[in-house]
Amino acid sequence: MKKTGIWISTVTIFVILFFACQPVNSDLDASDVTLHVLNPRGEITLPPLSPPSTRIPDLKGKKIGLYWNEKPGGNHFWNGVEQLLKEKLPETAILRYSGAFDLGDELATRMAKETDAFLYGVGD
Amino acid sequence: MSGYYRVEKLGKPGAYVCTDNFVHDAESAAEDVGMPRARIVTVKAEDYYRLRGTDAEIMPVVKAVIDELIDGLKRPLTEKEASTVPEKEDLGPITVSAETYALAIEKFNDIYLERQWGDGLTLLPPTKEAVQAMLKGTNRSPDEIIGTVAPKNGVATIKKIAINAVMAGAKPEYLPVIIAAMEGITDPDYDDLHVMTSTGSFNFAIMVTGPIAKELNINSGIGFLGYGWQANSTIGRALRLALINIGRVWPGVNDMALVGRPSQQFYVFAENQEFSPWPPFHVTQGFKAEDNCVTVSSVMGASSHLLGGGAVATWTPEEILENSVRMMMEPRWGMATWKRGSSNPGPMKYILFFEPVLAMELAKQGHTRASLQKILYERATIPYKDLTPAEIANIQPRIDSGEIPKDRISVFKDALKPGGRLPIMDRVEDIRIIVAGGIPGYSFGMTFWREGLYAPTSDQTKLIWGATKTKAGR
Repeated sequence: MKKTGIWISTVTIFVILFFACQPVNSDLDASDVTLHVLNPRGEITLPPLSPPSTRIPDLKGKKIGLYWNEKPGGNHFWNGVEQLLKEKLPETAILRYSGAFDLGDELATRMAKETDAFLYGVGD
Repeated sequence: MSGYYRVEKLGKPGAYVCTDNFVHDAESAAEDVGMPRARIVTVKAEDYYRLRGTDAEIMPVVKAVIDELIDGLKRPLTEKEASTVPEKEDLGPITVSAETYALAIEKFNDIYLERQWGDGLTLLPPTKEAVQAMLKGTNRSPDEIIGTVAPKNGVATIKKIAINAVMAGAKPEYLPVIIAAMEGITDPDYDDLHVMTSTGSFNFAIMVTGPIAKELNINSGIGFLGYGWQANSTIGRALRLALINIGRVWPGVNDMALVGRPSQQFYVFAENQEFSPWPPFHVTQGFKAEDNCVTVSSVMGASSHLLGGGAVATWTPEEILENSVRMMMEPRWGMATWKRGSSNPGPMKYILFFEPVLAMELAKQGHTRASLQKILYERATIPYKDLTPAEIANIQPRIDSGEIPKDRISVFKDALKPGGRLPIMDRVEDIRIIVAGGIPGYSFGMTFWREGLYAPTSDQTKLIWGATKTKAGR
């Protein structure tokens, strides 16, 4: 009985020593490292979504505005657009506008009053 | 796109025209204004830019898209185009697991870089603990909102700034400087949108002034715009990451800088107060000499103008002043067409980096910043007899539109008489003189439009405060 107790104690000590001598390294265990990382993105509030305006199936007799931001060379492109629109839609009037990247409320209002549809380009 | 949106919102059907290389930019802008399904028609970039010189040359490009343009105005909206259901986004933490710490770091970087939440270099993981440690650099609330960042107007809280600072490898003691710079960038009067998204390689110059610069070891001597200094590099990287992630900007999508933005970590440096004969720069902006400040300036990133100095050629102060005037006169090419809000919005502002020896020499001659500004402003003028009719014709519209400040109108009107001289700048304060660099050093200049395209100013100076780990900036 006494011998058995000594044997058990010796085994227990070996078992404890065995585990105590293992390197403290969680890397040895599968999926042992977990990082909870914070999201770096800023919250954005998108404005309420609006669909584009209803299209005009027949442009005959309508007025089309062409807006350009005066970036060099764009005038040639829009000259070509005006010429081809007149050829393809002879009964359509073309109105030309130019100004800043963003035409602003005042010009937008005027353009909306004067035209039925529009093409908008800012040079790139 | 905002202009296109204005007219669409007034009930007129339109089509937005851009080159195919700008379609992502247009789609992103359409999302920003709330019309993600705007009708966009593209022309081939490789043809458009090459052929736009004349009506005849560009005609094949027009012919290729004319039917699509007409169709864009006529074809009824699809169900998807007419939809107004927004997409939702999860901004919560992300969990990364792996067998080893090294693999977890690798996995975290793969995820963040794949999502375009980084600058291409390895990131440090912004764990809750790391972010809390970063936030100990300031006594300001993590939930404090600093402002919104272009182009998508992401909300910059101190916590979000700290997360990005951790990812950049910045130290907690740098955080108050980073926050102050973000206050400058997000100031509603500062045009961060143009400098972050334009096709030009514009960039930010971030100058730290006051005793905190020395305490944080921000380089102001030899190599002050270069590598090797932890504070300069990681403050700049923290700001770059904050703009990428909070503002949601990405090259080729909505940052259209054609050759990129040289200096990925911006130009972060300190004024060389040790050798400067004049009060700190921030005093010129209304702050006290003992304050600590950050000045954020938009600059033309890919170009600086060498004025003189260095270890090779000899120089005199007068030569450098003359070279400064020569640089200031260069923007005259666009003077006849300056117009607020256009791609050529108006006169420049100038940042003159004077190396210490030059500054000390000028001070010995009795010059102050103000006296030098006045001298340079008066020299950077054009005799009335040399003005072109187009240059003269553009003055009155600039007066009428309020672009020329009211208190300067008389100066411009007086210049338009025989014997008069027209200034190239609107204000003497548009010349900023900064002492920076080592001994020997180069003097050079940087420029930018005085007014932004989308907001009134192109520089801001902000107080650094709330620091907990430095003596200065508390």
